[in-house]
Amino acid sequence: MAHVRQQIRDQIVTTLTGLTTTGSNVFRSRIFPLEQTKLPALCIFTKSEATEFDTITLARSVNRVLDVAVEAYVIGTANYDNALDTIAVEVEEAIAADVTLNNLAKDAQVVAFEADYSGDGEQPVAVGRFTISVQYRTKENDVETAV
Amino acid sequence: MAVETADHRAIFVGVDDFGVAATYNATTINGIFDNDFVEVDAGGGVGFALQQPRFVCRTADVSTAAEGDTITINAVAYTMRIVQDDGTGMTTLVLEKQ
Repeated sequence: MAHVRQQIRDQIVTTLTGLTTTGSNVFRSRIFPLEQTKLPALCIFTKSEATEFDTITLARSVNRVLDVAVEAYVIGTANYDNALDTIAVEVEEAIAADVTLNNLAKDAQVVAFEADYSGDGEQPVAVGRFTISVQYRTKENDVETAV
Repeated sequence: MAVETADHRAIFVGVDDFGVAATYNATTINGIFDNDFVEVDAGGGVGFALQQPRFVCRTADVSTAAEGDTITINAVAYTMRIVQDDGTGMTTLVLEKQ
């Protein structure tokens, strides 16, 4: 078993792999730049989590809210903004189809989106960043099991 | 004020050394073509590994160039996105690959 956070990250990778636009170009916690042959792509990061102990008796229950960043990368001489929104349809509907993330979470919501653009390369590129807020619970002495 | 002449600049971009021939407005002009890989940061967690095409030529050869014009280099068509006249007789074209 692994930390539930890792299980959630892996489940989101599974959920978002094979979407119409990005296909198998889905990368978990990628570090290196994306070559053109790997575009359009999704990169998935778990960057922050807030925890709250909400019972008194040991072992306490921990309510966790994990922010998962799903970033869409596209390139094109035109309509790169529309390409991001096409991906948004696919990502948001895929998450909405299983908000418990295979019973790991109490809820998963796409709570934010922002886009950035650049013309520094041979063609315009755009990045769309979705924030998925995932609420899940564990016991403090067993963080490998969602409760 | 430029210290070299138009002939000097022609030698600088000549195809005998580092220059390449390009087609612009149905005429052939010479220039130095750079197309290095760079990491383009568009605000994501990772960058894009892309080439960055630039063409340096005599300003006199592209005196009417403007954004949106097409230039063909090494059989690849590019759209001019920024025309950077340096004021000394040379111009750098920032290009977008078609």
